[in-house]
Amino acid sequence: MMHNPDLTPPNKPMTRFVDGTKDCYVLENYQRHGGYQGFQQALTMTASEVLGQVKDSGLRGRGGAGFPTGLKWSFMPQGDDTPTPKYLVVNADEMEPGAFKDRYLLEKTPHQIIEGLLIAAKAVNADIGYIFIRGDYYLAIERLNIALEECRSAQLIGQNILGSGFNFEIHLHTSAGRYICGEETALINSLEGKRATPRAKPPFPQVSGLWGKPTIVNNVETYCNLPHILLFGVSWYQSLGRHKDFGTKLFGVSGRVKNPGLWELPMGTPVREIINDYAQGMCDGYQLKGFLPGGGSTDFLLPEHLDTPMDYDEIGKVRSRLGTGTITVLDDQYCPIKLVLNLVKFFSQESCGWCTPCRDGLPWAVSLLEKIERGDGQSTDIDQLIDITQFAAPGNTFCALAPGAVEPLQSALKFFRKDFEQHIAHKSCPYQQEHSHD
Amino acid sequence: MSNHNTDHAPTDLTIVVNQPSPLTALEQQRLTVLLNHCVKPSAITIDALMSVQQTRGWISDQTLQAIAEFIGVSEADLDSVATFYNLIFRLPVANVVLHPCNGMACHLMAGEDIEHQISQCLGIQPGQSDENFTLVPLPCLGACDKAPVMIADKILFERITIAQVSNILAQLTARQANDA
Repeated sequence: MMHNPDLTPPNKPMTRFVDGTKDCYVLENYQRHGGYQGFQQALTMTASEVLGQVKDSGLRGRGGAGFPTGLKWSFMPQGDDTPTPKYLVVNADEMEPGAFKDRYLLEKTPHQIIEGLLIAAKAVNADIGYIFIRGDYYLAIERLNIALEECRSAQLIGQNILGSGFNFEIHLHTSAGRYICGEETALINSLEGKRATPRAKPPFPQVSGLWGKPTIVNNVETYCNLPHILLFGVSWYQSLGRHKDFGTKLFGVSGRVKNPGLWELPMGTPVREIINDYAQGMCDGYQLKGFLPGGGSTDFLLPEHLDTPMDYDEIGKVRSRLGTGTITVLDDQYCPIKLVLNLVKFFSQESCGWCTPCRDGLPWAVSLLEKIERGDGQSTDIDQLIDITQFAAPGNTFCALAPGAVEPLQSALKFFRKDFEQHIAHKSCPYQQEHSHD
Repeated sequence: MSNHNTDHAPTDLTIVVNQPSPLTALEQQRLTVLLNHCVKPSAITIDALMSVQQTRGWISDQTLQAIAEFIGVSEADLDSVATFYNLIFRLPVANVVLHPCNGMACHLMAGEDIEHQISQCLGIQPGQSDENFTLVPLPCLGACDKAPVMIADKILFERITIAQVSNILAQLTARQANDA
């Protein structure tokens, strides 16, 4: 395989393969630009050395929760007397409202994901990998299938990879669609051909996951960080962050901005810079009313929070979550209650129905929000909505779906309370004239 | 340009329910491949349903029964899976299923107007079919920077305007005619 010693450490590692002309979803081009060199580096190291490097890098899971990746991996039992096969899963079931980062990586750099998966497999001595991909991502599925074929022909997957004695098999599973499949234990149930209901934890999947065997599930973007951590090292990786978290992240903006899109930027880039410089600010005639920093299950933030760095802990300090890092902008001409209704309706529909706060609480919230939005609300409805946000809080539910669903609701009740009260007092939606097709 | 007759009564019965229940040789062959590569038969339920749906468009009770029998799982287990997932259809659908995105980013960009326009053009509501199309809005399709979007016939239509809707429908009808 080609080795390029002149490869300079990039400041946008994950998207360095993407510039529109390179077509790096093809193996040959990916390799020409340094692809699979991180994996080759890993092949020269022991499993614990690879794990150590990922731990030292400080990489945190890019699926939304931000759990330290190396630490998660270290929970997988190792040694001759531990169960086999060990499984690794790529969670490519992107369906969070407002999230569009994994699609980009899947379509543009399928080999980067495969390389990350191989490196992870080396680190935790895994035997089999599954890429669990959303069924609606047709182009990504096509490119991944081709990429996997290319890897088989090039001896990058299968038995005795590149003559190293290392074996790893990868399968692509196309999901039949349901948001809850993104929850790691629900995903595992789905891989087993069952309804995607979450499992009780403990046991955690690292100990007992797919078919009761040790299993690690990581997000697409998490895997995409790995080749570069191996190739360019820990201190390079840590120098990329602008605040306390390390590396880069795909940040995006959607909604009424001039230039909606996706950019790879240092962790800790302030929200203001992302919205004003990269997304070029609000569309003419629209003002920023608020924003969701990382998808539909994160709390609203206000213009006063624009200087917050996009870091896990910093966004946490202002009572929201970094989530997927794809920002959704709420403008001053769209009814915030209507937006929250859209979100809670989505979560209500996607609830697996397993536990009561989610199965009963979310439809209840939907009916209250509908009532308020159409002008039939009463002031007691606000109190009931607050009650629901508490019933569905973490600890009261089986998984994170319902707590996520009430995050935009509870923050809307806090920040846009006047809008709720106006709807109720005036018995109509003040935004309705702007936005109606009836 | 196809004739989208809005007088046409929207009904699911326009698609004939009369499909053969035994699995074809091709369907059996595909299921056998899946069975040969699985840890146990129950693992292939989703893939089996999707595979047969590829040829039949949807999963009728008879089809479900035939698949359950062939792969060796109970009908109840198979139906619990078939009714859980968004992309497995237990009711007849037309050749083209339109999935306009009803996620929040698309709604912020007036995606509801697109869905409404499709309804108007075809004279059908979400969940209904005419002779060519079934309308099934889906949540966030992961292309929020290109909102409003729609997936149909494996194509992602981006930044759709109301004026483009009838052209998109015509384009999809023409593709079907070419395939036929």
